[in-house]
Amino acid sequence: MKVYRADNNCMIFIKIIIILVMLGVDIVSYIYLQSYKLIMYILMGSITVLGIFFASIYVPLYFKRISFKVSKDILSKKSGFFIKTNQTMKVSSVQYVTSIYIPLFRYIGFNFIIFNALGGHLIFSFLSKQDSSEILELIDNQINEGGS
Amino acid sequence: MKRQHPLKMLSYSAKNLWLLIFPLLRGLFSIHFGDAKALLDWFAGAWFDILTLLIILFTGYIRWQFSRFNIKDNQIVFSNGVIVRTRKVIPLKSISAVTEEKSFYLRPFKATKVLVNTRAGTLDKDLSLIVNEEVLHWLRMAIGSNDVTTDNSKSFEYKPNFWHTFFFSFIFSSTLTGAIYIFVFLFKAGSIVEQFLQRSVLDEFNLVTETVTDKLMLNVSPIFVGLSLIIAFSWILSFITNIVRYTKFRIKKNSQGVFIRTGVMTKRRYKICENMVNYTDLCQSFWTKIFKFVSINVNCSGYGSSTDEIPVFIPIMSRKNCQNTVSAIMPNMKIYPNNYKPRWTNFWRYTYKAIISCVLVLSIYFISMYFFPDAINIIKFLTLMVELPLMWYLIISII
Repeated sequence: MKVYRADNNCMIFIKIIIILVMLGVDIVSYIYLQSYKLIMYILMGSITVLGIFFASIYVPLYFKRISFKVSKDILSKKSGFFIKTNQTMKVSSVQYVTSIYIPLFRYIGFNFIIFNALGGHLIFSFLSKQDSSEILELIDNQINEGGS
Repeated sequence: MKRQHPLKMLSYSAKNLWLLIFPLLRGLFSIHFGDAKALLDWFAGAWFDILTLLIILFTGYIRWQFSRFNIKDNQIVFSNGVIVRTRKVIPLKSISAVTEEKSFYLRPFKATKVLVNTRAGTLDKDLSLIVNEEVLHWLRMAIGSNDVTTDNSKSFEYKPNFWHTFFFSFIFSSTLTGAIYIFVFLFKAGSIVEQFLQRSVLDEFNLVTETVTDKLMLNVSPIFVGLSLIIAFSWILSFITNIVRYTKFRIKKNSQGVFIRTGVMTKRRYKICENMVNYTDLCQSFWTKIFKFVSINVNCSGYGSSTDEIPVFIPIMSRKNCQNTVSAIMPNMKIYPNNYKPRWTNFWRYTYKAIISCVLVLSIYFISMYFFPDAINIIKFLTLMVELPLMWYLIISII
């Protein structure tokens, strides 16, 4: 069984995006809400707090806690921040696999795999390109050998 | 890798296209084409809409270009998307049902909609394609959904006659008795509650219903005649839809699998993997039970899963013949006689809801009669209209 983790490059990219969005909203609020100082300060304050919380606490912890286990028989995912979840799926129940990626951001971890099985699905998210290819090849071989 | 039919471009841009195209056409048809100045004026006002329309069509074209599929190593590989790319890999052995739909608007363009389903727990179809005739034949050969075989020793074919289809559509069109009941309810209610209602219907609707009322020489409010007509019309529409959908129904079983063809306006062709059928369902309504008919449905992912589809294998058949038919189509499925029946002591378990409801309604009737003696007509009518379906429910529960 091999354990995979979400790509740290993706985490850094998401943190940067959050900071940029936070700064953008703050600047726009500062420019356009000068006539409503109270609302402006409340909005800027709450956006800044939320941005710092997500960028420095939530996203790093989410990426630290998420992990995927792949073996010949079992697929497993552990994730969650406030509520921890552990999903397990048998490879033999996988009906088909969908991979999602953004070509421009493939090398910074925007690779997702959805395993569609009997009665549900399992999503592996923020994988590196190498991990994603490796998992897909392993599961493809298992399915073709008669795993499903 | 193969591409879908060019018509798919329209489905990629359909949502936004129609918002613009109709106002543009309306403006264009309002001017004289011979008048160059009017044409230029129209273009000067509509150039932005035309540009948006062209961008939408171009976006649809780009999405169509990036949508490709192939069959390789016993798998269907489907790639889609421009910025966010998706790649779906469906093993052929996971396929439970393949549907081919030739709607009347696709046939002039020789296009067919192909839907591939597996047993995965998704609400929508697993794969949806629009292909031309050449690609369709290639897909059929590759997936194995070609119903032509040289080995006819294990073939079986069943085609119901028109009257079977007619009876099937009649029975399964909404609820026959429910429609009659609502029709009678509105018909009768109009004469009692007319004085309490304001007349606030559209002029055209009034005209139609008043005309019908006059011709039938009825003493009820045209409002309720109109509502009754709507209910009756909706049932007729459901009936016609079922007739059109299930005319030319035939089921064929051979070494390739189970094939079903049905429909006139939209020709549908299903290929079902019999080892993916979860169970068979012998359906009998009150009326078919009286005439000893049965409808054989199946539960198979991808067949009959949409709301307007019935997953039917055999529309209508006599009860005594259904065992042989089911065995011929699916040898692994057998109809066993019922060995266990509920005891008489469980009678209450099946009927308590209906009995309690009937008693409750009667109690409310007597209480209302005591407190509101002036409204005796309305109370009697409402009690009758509520009690009738509850009695029907009780009879069905007992049966």
